[in-house]
Amino acid sequence: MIFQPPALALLLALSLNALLMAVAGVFAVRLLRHWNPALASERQIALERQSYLVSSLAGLSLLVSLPALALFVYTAERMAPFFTGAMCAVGSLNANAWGWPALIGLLIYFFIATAWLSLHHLDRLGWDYPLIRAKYRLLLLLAPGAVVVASLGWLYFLNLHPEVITSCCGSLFGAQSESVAAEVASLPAAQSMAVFVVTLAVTLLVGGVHLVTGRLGRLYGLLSMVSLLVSLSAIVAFISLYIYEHPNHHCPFCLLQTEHGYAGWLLYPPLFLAAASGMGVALSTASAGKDSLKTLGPMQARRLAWVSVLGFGVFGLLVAGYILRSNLVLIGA
Amino acid sequence: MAAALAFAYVTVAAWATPEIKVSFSGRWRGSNRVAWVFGLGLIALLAVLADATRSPDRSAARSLARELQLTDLALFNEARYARHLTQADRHAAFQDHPMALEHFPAGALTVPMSADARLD
Amino acid sequence: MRAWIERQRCLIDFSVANLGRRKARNLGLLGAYILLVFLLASVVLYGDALRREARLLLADAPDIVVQRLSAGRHDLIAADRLDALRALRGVRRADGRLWGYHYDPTLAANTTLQVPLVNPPGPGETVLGATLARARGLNPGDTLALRGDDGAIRAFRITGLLSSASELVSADLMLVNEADYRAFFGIPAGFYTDLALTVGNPAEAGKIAEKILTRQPGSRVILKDEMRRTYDAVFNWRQGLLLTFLGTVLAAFALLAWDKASGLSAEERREIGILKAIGWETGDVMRMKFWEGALLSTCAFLAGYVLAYLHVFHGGGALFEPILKGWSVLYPKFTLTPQIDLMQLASLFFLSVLPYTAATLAPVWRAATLDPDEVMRE
Repeated sequence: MIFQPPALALLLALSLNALLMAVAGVFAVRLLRHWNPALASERQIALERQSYLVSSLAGLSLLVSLPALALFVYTAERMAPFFTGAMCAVGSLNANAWGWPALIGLLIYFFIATAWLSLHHLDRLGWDYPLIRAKYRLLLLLAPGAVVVASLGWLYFLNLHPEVITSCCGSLFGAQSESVAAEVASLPAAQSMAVFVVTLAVTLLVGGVHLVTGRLGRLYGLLSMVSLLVSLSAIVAFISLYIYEHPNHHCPFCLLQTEHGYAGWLLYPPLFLAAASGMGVALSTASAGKDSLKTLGPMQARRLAWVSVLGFGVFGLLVAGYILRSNLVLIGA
Repeated sequence: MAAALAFAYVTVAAWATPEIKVSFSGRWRGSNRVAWVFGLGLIALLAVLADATRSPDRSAARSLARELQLTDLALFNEARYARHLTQADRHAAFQDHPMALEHFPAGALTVPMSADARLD
Repeated sequence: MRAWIERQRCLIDFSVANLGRRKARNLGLLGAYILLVFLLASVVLYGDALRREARLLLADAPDIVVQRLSAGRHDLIAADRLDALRALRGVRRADGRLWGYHYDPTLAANTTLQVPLVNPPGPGETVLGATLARARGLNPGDTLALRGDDGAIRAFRITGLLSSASELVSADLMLVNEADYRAFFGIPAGFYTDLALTVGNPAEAGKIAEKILTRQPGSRVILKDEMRRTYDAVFNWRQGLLLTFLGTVLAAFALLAWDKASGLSAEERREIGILKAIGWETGDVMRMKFWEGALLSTCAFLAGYVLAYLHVFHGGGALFEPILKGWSVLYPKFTLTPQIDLMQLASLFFLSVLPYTAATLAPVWRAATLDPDEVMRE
């Protein structure tokens, strides 16, 4: 099963990522122990120099981990026909115990990685390495994370056996199941739609306030994370229903299939981009406390806020478009 | 995509540092040449993508397959068990006689079906 | 923004000049890079296209095929089982299929004789697959004489050829009518090669198959789904095996890239030393080197991919044909239909550009952190 080209590419990427991050992690420990910009010692100069290499390494491998998430979902999707009972990515992920941990691990890693990238960028804006400690502390979290994610990936693909009969989205999101997913799916459409609309509106409003006044950056970061969770639940609770035009099909993965016009590939990227850059807004705002980032931090926050607000806006418009176009009537029928 | 990522990375990295002066000018400065090469490459890629949208007429083959109730591709017809891969005996370890090791190249093309993929 | 673009342009200018100064070395590297992408992309494109072709062409295969097993091997099946099968709920149609192999000593190849259910050829007539007709040099109107099961030579007049657009499924077919078939192979009436069922609801095929197995033990039931998975697995296996072999090529290439990037000549060291002495920072040198890598990678990827596309979809996968063909004499002529998806491109990029970039990072850094005074004093 691991012979699928996307799976091979993914495992290569994850393994390289883990290797590079492990190197970076070891360096992070050294840097955190010995870093002292006041000193002009040989060690300090070597550290500054090596920091170039390590941050390039980390930057590259984190940039790679972002598309890896998409590649993972795509591979799971593509493997579905091999498993009896699998209709979409859910079936492949259920095919062994490692599928879901790998996906969730990649998701978490994705957001920590984007946080690191925005810290890294901010750090390079300032002239005196203002965030170097924060950056390398986060790296200490990321390095083992990369190893865990890569191991999960290997465990998942090595333990896939085509003869396994898996259960697919119907049973995961079905009414008789007692999982969180089923709970979310059984939320009444009207209420969840209201929550979704309100959350998104509040987020966009706060984003607008931030763009105009430069305030509320931290709140915006928090709200964008909330919006991400609410939006994902909304996709399961009612958006998917409108797209499939089926009152009981809640799967967020079937959206990625050709039959549904690749709706998922349209919906997820702006959402994830918006949430990640929203988090960047909070980080940039917070970094304004450093002397060298007093003006550059808020500037960066503004730039990211644009990206984030646009992302949420596009996502909201797409959802509205899908709902209006749909022939399904969930509310008021 | 990785190149796009590398570009994005360089983009991000370049924001921070101060100005430098290396001036090359003229019509055939390096970056213009690069733009030409990439432009041509992109055109070739687009041509490939456009070419990939052509949908061929499979109707003849498909209707024949339906009419004759065909189950297999006629790719490997050197050995009878490779000609109809889906219909071949999976029960018999050595397809020709008990001492027959696989010697057809096509045999190496086929994957040993996992035991449970069968219905019996 | 303008300043930034101009800055990147200058860096690119510089990188191009740099690449041009060591033409032979960089062209060699580019060639190896293109070859690598070409091989990887060819394998992926070819495998994907074949798998898709198999899936589309066999989409209308029988829902269920029932074989009789005798001592674990496929044997003739009695026609009276057909009625029992037709009586099963959910079975819409059941037909006996007649097909078998005939070894043709002239060609030294197996042909597949089959009896079509609809429009069978007349007595003593046959319709040939296009590949078979081409290999034997036969045309409609000619006669094909074969030695039958009883040793007697039987002549078949060729009334037509199967369309060459269908060669992928019909290369070695020889269609005859039922009476001719039975006489040729000496198969008594009342027996079939196997039975093909059409079911009303394909989702029920599994249940029906279980029922057949309990009612008619000793038979083997093949579902359409299994046929599809067989081909998926065959091409996946092949593709993956080749990719794994190419993994060694990939490793060699990464090593080459590493070596090229770290083996700085004295001249290059001096260059970097001078750049740094006139005010370039470590980051600038790294950026320039990144541009070099990015230019090389993009060129190689575009060229390799386009070449692979041409090779697979317009050149008929000439490099792979011998591998697939094996010893088959009757190899169909077919053109594959291209299909490109973004993720396939992305995985190719991951497989080729990522190892290159990773391999060159550390050497690039080492070059970029050279001390100007140290270099110039050498």
